[in-house]
Amino acid sequence: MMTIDENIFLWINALAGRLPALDWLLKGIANDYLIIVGSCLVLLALWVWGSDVYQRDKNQKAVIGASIGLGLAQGFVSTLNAFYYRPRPFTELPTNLLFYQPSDSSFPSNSVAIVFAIAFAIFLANRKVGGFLLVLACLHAFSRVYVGVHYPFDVIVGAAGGIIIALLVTRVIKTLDKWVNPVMSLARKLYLA
Amino acid sequence: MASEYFYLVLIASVGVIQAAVAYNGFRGISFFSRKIYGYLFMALTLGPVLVAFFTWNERNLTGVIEGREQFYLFMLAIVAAIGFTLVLSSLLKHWSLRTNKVRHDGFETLKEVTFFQALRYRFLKRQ
Repeated sequence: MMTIDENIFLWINALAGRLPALDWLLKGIANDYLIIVGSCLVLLALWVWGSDVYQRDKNQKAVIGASIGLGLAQGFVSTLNAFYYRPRPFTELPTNLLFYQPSDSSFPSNSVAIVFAIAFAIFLANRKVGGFLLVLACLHAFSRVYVGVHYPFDVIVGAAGGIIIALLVTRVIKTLDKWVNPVMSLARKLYLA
Repeated sequence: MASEYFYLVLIASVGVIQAAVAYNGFRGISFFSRKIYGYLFMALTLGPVLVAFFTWNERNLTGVIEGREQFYLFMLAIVAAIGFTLVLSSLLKHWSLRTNKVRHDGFETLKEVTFFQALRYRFLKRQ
């Protein structure tokens, strides 16, 4: 299993350094801020967005789900990191490293778990916006391997964790509708929703 | 580095809010009288911020803001952006959106009055 993971890593990472424009693009996408902040700004826009009250209510519940999912994804990664440390690929394999050298555990990818948790929670409520965020999340996941800071298995587990968390949170929010609705109602009374 | 992150998110958030409220016709929390200005404002604020985040590691070679700190800074910036938007839009639209009635609940109200006018009508019962 590890050998396949390492081989796929080496194959993807071998693409780095061939096209300077592609390196520059994927380095930007791989950083810890662009896609996460971009996804969160989409959540902010969705809170206000909606052609009618019903659509907006649906969007706002999805934003609540995505925000909770973001926190849980961070917790999921921290919990796994507490039990298992996997060195970064650039410390074990010949790597074309296009990035700074993170020192925390490689497994699972924290940023990938977060962007997938956000994207999938939105996708369940709004296919267009969620689909767009999922494309960005996939690009981010690929770029993390390309620049040499994660193995493919790290980003796959991060993405799977984010998706499962988003599914669970969305299900729980639907179940707890009678507790979510009063909160939304209060926010509406204060003209914040 | 943390303050750079905070200000970038703050600026981008104000821009995103303005485009979203322009699209949905919430005149009470828009800074502008025409939708197009809201979109232009977003382009002028969000564009440079995305470029700044894209090139973050070129400026801060080993720069990392930890996940938890990033979360707090982001939330703080969002709250500041919302507060700034509500105050500035209420000041700018105070005279042009005066009305005697608040007909809706929630965001729909902000199509007709400013945020602080809506709060005043609700809590002081001036309908």
